[in-house]
Amino acid sequence: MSIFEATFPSAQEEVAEAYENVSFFRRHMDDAGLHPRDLRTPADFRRLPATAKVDYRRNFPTGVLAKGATLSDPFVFRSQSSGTTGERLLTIAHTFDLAERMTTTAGAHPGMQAVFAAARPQRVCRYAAPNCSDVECATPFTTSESRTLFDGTRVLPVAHDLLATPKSMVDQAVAEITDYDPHWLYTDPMHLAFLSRELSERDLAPPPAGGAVLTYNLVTQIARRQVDRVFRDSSIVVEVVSMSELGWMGMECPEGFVHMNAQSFYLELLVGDRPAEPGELAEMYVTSIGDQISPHLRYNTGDIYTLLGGDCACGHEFPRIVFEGRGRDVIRRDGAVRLTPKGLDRLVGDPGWLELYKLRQLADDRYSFRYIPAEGADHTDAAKALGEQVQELLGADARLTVDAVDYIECERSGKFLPCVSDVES
Amino acid sequence: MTQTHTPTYADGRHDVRGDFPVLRRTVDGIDVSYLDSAATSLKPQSVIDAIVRYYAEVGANIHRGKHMLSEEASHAYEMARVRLAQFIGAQANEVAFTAGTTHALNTLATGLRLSPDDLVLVSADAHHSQQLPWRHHARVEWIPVGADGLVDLDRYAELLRQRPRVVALTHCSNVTGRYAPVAQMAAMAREQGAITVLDAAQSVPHRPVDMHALGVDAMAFSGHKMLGPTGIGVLAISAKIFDAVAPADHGGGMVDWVDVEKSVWRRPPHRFEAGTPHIAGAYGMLAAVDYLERLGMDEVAAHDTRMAQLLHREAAARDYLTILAPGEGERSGIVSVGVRGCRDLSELARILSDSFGIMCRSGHLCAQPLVDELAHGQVLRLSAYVYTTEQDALRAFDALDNTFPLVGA
Repeated sequence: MSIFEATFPSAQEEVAEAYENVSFFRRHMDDAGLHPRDLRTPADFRRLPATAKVDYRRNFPTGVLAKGATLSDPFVFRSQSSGTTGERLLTIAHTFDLAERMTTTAGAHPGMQAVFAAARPQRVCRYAAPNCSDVECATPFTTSESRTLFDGTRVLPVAHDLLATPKSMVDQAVAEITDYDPHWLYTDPMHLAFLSRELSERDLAPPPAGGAVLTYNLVTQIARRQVDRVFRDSSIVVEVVSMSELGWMGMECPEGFVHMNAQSFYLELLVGDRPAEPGELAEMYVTSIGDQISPHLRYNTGDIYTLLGGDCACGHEFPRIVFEGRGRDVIRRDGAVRLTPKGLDRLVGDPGWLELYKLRQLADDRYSFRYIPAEGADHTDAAKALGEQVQELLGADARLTVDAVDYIECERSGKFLPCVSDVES
Repeated sequence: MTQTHTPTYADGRHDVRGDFPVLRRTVDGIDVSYLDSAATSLKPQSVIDAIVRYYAEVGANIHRGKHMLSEEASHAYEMARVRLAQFIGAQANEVAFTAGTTHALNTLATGLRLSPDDLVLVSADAHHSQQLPWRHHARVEWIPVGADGLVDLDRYAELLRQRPRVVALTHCSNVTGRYAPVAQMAAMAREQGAITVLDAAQSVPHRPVDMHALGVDAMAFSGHKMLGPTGIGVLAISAKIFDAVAPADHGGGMVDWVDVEKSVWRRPPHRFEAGTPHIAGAYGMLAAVDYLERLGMDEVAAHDTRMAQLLHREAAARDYLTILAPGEGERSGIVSVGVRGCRDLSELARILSDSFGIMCRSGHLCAQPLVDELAHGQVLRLSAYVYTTEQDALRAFDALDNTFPLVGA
């Protein structure tokens, strides 16, 4: 039995509970001509049609809440995904479920686990796209009190368009971190890389924090280098895979590999309808375990992963994966995958001449690669060579422009995505 | 003998006319040759479809609600801003949507809070929209333009010594098609501490324009001259002068906070977009930029240059035509001419339209001081764009040859 299948019996129970107590899932299974007792093996399980955001959105709240659950439960945590990509979602979860998932996930990194354990009560600073927090943090006159969440998390001010953040707002963020003295930071890696560059430019020491979590977004090698340069000596920096609707799902171990939480979830990494082999691009489907308020069954995360084979030197048993990017950001031509955001990151690497970049697919055959060179770097020839490599992957007939710029916009979500497609897949 | 050519756009096509429904029209059975693109461009089907899509499938207001349709409209609107910014080498927060170039320049002239004693230098070949707002708010002196359509840089340097607050430049004249050396002029203005404001309505549609590379502090252009819809344009304001520009219009959408005593403006560019904007227009603008980028702006510019050469060569070959600002040099696909002995060019334009299907413009072209000085108040203008072919231009000159004996002398 694979590590993925260790929780299969729990997933069967989750399906049975959902069938009995959640009206959407009863209808969903009835429509598919299935009953929980039909799902005896992992292969049977894959006959259950996958669910997607649209199902949870359309049926919220009455259709997806378990019998007896209410929104007024004091332990219910509401989560709104931004909705700026057309995939908005309002979901709820029990705070103790989220805490259990976080704790189990953090088992991948004992050092980070120790940071969390020592933080009582937890003081966390969040630095991410404004839409990632349900408070207004993108205007310069908000107060720190107005940006403090119910759990004490301090949301730092930042503009919707990251690179257009005024210097005064950066100063404000730096001052607030210092003042708040957080145990750890919860950040978008592109945002923390931006803050790191600003700190370096100001010749300031890193803010006091035992750890920094990088989530919400792909962690590029360049962003990681910029973050590490500032934080490595004083903080543990880890990548975390999380979803607003499910909480923490994976964490980077001390060896630098992300381990998925195969205990709090039943995870399926699939190519089409078969389990993925190591090295294959796969879609992730998640079934919650023991969620008594709003279970998720075979939930298509919309994200693309690669499974890594073999055991990890860190000794952690959870499976190792590489987050390749959101499915909607994958570069496809004629329906075939040409490049994932992580694939682009692998191609770009971490050259010293490059500070930031964005590849945007404008149409099936049109692409724009813009980059911000490092100050004073001799970049022209290197960028040309990189452009040729990207061109090779996109196809000889693709029209790719490569331009050095001093500014690159964020998406409307407020996220800075290094690889994005405007083409509907 | 005229050299023939067809444009080759970056997407490999030579003929884009099929994308423009108006070009399928006939006038009393005669094909249309549209040579009035300096007034407004035709719209490709993709732009029309984008506008229809907003009204047919979305319809909601932006930035006002939490419902899905509003989010979708807001996303498209902001994407249009991002793509427009990229198109002109600006930051997204430097791009404010306006009703058009005229509205943009009025917004800026008002927002700079000029006093009547402040000096503004204005190019003599400026469109009325780059003249009148400044004349309304401040004292104006003219940057002279010679009979060849070129800016008198020596005189400009002298004028700058008066330390104007604003220098209002015209990138490309809508009358002569001449390009001004804007980067040089902006650098000279900067040395004197002046804010440079560029009317780019005739340049942005036709060639790659980079606001920061030009070194201007603000620039304005319209959607309708670049294949987009009417009623929407752009005021691009460099972040360096954000603090110097106050909103000209006040109301919903431009404030973060309002109580009974005070209000707090939103950050740029939203503070410059009071009220519900032209949302469908933004959908159309996004489609227009996408269309132009698909053609390739380098190829669009090359076609424009070739059309300029063709129009001027054909006009110069006819002794009954007098070209405004003749001669070599950088110019857009525009030629304005006087017709010997023809007292009423509007009648000639009407004949070209109704009898030959040639749509062109006559009059002072909203640049009356220049046309009064160089052509006694009226010209006939032929102007080209991406869909204009050599055959269009040659048809127009054939029609002029045909008509001149009857209307000229």
